[in-house]
Amino acid sequence: MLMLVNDDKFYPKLSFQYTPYIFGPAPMPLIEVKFEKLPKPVWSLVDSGASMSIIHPKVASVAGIKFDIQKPITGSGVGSSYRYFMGTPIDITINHISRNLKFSVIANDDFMWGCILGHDFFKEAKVIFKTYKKEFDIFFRK
Amino acid sequence: MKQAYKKQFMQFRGEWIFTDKNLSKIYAHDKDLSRLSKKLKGSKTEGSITRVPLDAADAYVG
Repeated sequence: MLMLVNDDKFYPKLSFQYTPYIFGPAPMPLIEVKFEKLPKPVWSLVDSGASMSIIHPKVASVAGIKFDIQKPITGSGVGSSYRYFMGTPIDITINHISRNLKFSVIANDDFMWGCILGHDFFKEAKVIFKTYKKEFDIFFRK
Repeated sequence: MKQAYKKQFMQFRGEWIFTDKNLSKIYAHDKDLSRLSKKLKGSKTEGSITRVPLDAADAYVG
């Protein structure tokens, strides 16, 4: 028998539509992330395959994230390795819900994304991808 | 140039752009994110910032 249980550990779900992006016809799970020092939100990829949340160095600088360029770390991704720096935690806001999140600042000015939300973000929220409906839901933890 | 790479973005490769939610309108652009941020201060227009990749590709595969 299926029991429907109200999970009081999470806020009610926020639903988002997949969004068109620069590449191709396939919409992507993008979300608007607000940083206090930026006048407009940054389109950010919600990426279940990213073990960390990653931010472009220019976005990091304008947003006020501090990082030590003397201490690069090597990571690896699809097809290649990359260098990054650990950034200081910063407040982000998504649909009026704020969280303090730590980003890895990628050491590449040509990085195509302003921001990627990876598993650092998934510690703060449960995400359900419904690609068949071009939707995804986010449940922030209380 | 790949067809999937939308034509309106070609001229802004490597730049930061401020667009509507459907990425159909580009309201402002600049190579420098700090400068774009200054341009957008006080703007009431709804939209978000993203970066146009330098290279054209058929798709983003993660």
